[in-house]
Amino acid sequence: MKKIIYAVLICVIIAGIVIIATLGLNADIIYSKNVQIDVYIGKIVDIKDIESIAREVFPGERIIVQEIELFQDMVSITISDNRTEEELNTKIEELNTKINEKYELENSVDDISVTHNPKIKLSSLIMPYALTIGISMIIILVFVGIRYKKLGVLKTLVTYILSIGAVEMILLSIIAITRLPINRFVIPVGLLLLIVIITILGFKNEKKLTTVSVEENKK
Amino acid sequence: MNRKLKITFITLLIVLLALISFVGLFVQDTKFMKNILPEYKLGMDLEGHRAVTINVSDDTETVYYDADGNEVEEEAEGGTSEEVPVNSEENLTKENYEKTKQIIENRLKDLAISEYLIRLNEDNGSITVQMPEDDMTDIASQFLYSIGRFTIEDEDGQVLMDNSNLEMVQVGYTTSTSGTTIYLAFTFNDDSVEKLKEITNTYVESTDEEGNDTSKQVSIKVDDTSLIDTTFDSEISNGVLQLTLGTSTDSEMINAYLQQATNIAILLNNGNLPITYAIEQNRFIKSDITLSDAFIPAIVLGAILLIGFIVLIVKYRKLGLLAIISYIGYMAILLIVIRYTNLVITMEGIFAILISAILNYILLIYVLQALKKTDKNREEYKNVFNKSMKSMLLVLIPTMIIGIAMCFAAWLPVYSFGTIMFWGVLIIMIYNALITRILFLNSIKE
Repeated sequence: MKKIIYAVLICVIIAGIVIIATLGLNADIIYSKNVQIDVYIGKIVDIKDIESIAREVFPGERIIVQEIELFQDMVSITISDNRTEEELNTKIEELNTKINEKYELENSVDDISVTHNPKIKLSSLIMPYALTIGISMIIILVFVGIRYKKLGVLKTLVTYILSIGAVEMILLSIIAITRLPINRFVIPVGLLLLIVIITILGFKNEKKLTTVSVEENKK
Repeated sequence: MNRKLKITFITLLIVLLALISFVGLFVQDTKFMKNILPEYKLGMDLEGHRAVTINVSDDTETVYYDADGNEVEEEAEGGTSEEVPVNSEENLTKENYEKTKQIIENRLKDLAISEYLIRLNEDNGSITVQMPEDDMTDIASQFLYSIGRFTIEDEDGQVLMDNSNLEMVQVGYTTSTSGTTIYLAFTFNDDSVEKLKEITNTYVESTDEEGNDTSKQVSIKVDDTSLIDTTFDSEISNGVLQLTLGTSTDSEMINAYLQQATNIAILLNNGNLPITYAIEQNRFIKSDITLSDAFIPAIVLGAILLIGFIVLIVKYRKLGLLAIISYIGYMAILLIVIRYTNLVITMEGIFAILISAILNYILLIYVLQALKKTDKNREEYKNVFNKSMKSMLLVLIPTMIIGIAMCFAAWLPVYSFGTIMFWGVLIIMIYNALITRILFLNSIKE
């Protein structure tokens, strides 16, 4: 059973690597190329109403609606940048009409500012973590090497490196295969898994160490 | 103290801490009650950000020529003029866009902006930067499009030295009886030392035979704004030009001079932008994560916690109940510490709180499991508790290492995760060794 699970996990990792190498990862609109539509409404609005209008205009799309500044009279609607200028202008006109209807306004499309935001390199999000995680991993390996010396230094180190590497790779592979968007939860989840796996390994090794000590005492 | 009294006292203390942490500590402030507990500090993900977009400028500047076709400063009689784009076509390359992005990133790093996202449109050079809203945001916004052009010019506007001659700029200060003097030290590269020497010998105070002032001045400029128009009173042969920005005995003024000097140094040390940019948008955008978005995750986490508590009571009875009390106390203390140490909570920070909560629960289960297997003997309880705590603390050391390493990071999400993880694990270690110990050991008779 264990072998089957390992085989499946290895297949998942390989499939993930292939997909990342060919298709890349799917970034959420906060990190990918997007269009930011800033609408000045001129009166206090409920963000939920604007969100529902935006959903009518851009059905089935991932939309982010945010308030601009502190007066609750201006909103920013972020959508994916996958339309031609003409299509986008039509949508913006529709959006303006619906907002005008809702709030009984006569705002013109010219009052709406459109910003095309380029994508963010995903590597730039990961890089700040690389150095600190790298340094802490070296210190952790030194610590576990000393602490679990009786269990075999090389075996312990290899187990830690492979386990942590495998878990993080599986997470990345699942994200790549399922095309889940890389959003602001991915890195924290990666960190959570890192701590979980380190803690599990710690428990296992402490248990083994106790067994070894008991056996040594018996002798 | 009686063991039941000890448990009651600790329980009441935990209830008090929980009330302070989860509800607040209110005191009368004029007509209203005010919570004196510091507010949680939120990161860019949760609070909002300043979005600044800069586009490649399509402005033009007027260039004047005299009658002979030579370029002149002002419109000349019989001369001509033409409109020239501030950015030449050949300058608008992908390499220059990348270089601009890199310079901006370096400036933001030097300004110690704790978190930022930079987007570069490689097709048209447009750059969007998202950064937290704080005291530095307005300065940082200016640094995105300030060219950083350094020049030493003569009275005719002839450039004598520029960024290519400059090696670095440092900020220095001296203190005397008249106050603290803040200065900038411009260090020129080896090839320019002689040139500077020549300039300092040429542009000096002088008078002709009739006593008329014939001094030749230079103007030291940053982005065409003059820092000083001056003459030199002595030769500079070491390649270091010192420029005093101000002297004061007032600490606010000194700090202002220091800030000004530091800003100039950061601007010049990172090189000048190869392209002129114009600002397109500069707005504060609130986070898309609102309290209502947190409602469902909070319900789910609350339900999981409730199940966890039920498991503790069903499986460990009295000790389980004490473990729940201890657990609530731990969470209360952790949240109070986060407030008082001004830790910034980012999405990573929220996960660090979550991990700390999980680790503390695991510790309690681990200790309870060990206690369950022992005889109900106080001494035995003490030994088993100490042993299992020691074992658990050793398991937590790697997590502590990650936390400490991340505490040194300048990048806010990493720092937030590291600091909260550090405090989370530290409180697990100390709190359980003290409070949980008293609760568990006093749960049985001597």
